[in-house]
Amino acid sequence: MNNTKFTVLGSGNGARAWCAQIAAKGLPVVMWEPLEATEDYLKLKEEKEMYLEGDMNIGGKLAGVTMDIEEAMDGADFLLVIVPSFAHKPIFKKMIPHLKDGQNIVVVPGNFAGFRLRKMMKEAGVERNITISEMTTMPYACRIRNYNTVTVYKKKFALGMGTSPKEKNGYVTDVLNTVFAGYVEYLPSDNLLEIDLDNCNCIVHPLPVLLNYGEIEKNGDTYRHYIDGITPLISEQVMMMDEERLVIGRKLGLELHSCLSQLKMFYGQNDSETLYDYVHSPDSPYFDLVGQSVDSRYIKEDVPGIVVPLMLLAKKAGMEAPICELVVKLASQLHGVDYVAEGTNLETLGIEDLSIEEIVKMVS
Amino acid sequence: MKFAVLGSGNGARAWCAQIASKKHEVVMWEPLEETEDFKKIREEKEMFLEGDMNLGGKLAGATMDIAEAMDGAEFLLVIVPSFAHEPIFRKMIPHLVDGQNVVVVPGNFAGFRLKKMMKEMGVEKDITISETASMPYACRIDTYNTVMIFKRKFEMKMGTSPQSKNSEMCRILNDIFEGYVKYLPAENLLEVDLENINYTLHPFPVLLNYGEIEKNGKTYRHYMDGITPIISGKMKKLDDERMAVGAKLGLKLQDCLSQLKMYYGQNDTDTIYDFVNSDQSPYKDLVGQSVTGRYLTEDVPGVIVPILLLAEKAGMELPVAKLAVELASFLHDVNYVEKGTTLETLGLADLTVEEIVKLVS
Repeated sequence: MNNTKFTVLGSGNGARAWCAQIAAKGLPVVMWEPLEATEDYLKLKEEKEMYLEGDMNIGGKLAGVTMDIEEAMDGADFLLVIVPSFAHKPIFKKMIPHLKDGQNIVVVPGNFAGFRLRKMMKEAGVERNITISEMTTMPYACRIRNYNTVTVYKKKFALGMGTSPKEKNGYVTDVLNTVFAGYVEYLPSDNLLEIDLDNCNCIVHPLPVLLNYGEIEKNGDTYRHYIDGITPLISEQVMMMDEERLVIGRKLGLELHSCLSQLKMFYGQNDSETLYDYVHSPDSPYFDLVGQSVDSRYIKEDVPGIVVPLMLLAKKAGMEAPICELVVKLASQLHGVDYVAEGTNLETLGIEDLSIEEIVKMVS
Repeated sequence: MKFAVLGSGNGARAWCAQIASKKHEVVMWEPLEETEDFKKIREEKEMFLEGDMNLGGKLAGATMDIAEAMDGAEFLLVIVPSFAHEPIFRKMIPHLVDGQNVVVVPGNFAGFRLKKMMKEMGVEKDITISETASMPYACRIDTYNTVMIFKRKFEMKMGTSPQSKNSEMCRILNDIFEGYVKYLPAENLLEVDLENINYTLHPFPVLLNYGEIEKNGKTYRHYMDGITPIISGKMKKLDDERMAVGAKLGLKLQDCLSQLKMYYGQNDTDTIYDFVNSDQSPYKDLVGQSVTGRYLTEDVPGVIVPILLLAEKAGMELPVAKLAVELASFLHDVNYVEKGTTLETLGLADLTVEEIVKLVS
């Protein structure tokens, strides 16, 4: 373990937080900056340090900071891809030529990255004996405070992760649990699809924005997505959509977890029975989350990136997903964008010609 | 001329006062209960308007006996919410006689419904059926014999089946409302049915402000708070669909914004949002809304659904209207297409689009 080398691909809030987390264990970690040689980047390259503050206070020395992906990946055992999901494709394109047998890729959060990476490797004619892991979500809500310090508002207690091939999941989970020991626990899942579809964002993000569109347009700066947007009735509608997701999961042979149970796993157990109750409970991390927009990524990313593939998988399995479909249609109508055509569809994942069994097997 | 007003709500009492002020004979029929109001009206036989209009006069009578109310009446004015059309037509049909003129305010497909019910009940009478596109005023009962008019409309469309009788019917109503409201002749009843701008104005803003209405329904203002610039833009798309259906059916419809200007006064606003916030807007003091209010429970099944189904019959898709119906159905857990005014309930399921237009021309 002490010889395990990590590379974080990305330089945003989450990527820097992971650098600090790994560095705190005295493990070698290199940060790859994908875009520009910013002031932050130049200082980090010089000083090679990263820290967390707030809900967690740890940090340490980095092994290096580079914009050269080949250098960043060279000799790395773990490649941690920690970027918004719209950046997966361009980063995978740069990453694939330098992949080596035996490397372990972890995508945080997953968002169907496993399918996408395998498809892109196939298209690029690159065959490697690698593992691909995904997480359901980021382990913390955090924001960069200054170039070498990330404020962690709230860490999650536990979250799910899966690996393809499945027999390597124990190993990858053990490594990450060692890195995060005492802070976050990673719970093994059966396959990547389970991780992809256990994404709560597609449930708790779009519908409340759509049903509060007017208020968000008027008072976006002070509007609180969870506290103002998830009313008792909207909580019920959101839970109905979640139930639809769980039914789709069962039909696909996956063991999914309700959003409410995931929120309790992330932020603390209590006896809330509805999302509304949980959001207003003492364990809620949402009281101070202010600001929303009708063009928010809660729609622009979560609808095409998660609701659309969930709906398309349901259709492939011969099921109706009326609430997902309604959310996609309404978001498409309001944004004047065809989110099915623009979204993560079965073609972009390279699974349009596969049966459900073949799809699940592919990421097991 | 003898009139019977069938109904006893805000609009029905206002029409009684309007007709009475012209010294025509008018009887009010109370469809439901012998309330205190009803008893006092039957005793005193007077009705008045106040507010935007101040007039009134003596009624010929007030009764709960529909046969008595309809007896000898040349004009039967049905002035009730549209969900009450069917039960009232059921009571009315056995007493219809040749030569009577039925006017439904507002129409909401009542012509089709009445014709279908008469056929089913085996009643054939030589009558006319007219519809207005809207209520001529926004009003609220103040005391038993006085109705407060918040705002009257300047003019609106009216149609009659058979079409040949429409100019005569318009002339009669224009005489009664002279100096207040003007009725403009439409080509046919279907044109009047499709001119209902509640289609555009009511459901969509409720759906897109669901959370705020749930939280602050008592102080929420449907038009001022609910119709934001973006939502106004989406309502225009919904209205464009209605206009497209009209064009496909050969009807000359008016867009929502130009109807608002016709009703409440011309100005140079370009959007529904701008009109709602203009000096001519009647909406500034309209307070209170509910997520289960009639803007969804009546206007989705009663206005959007039949227009959507007619469009589908004509081979058109109305994606925005369909979305409104599906979203309302989901939120209320009611299938508003099944529960709504379908082509079956209007007796149109087996007709072609041409036959439908002809039926009410």
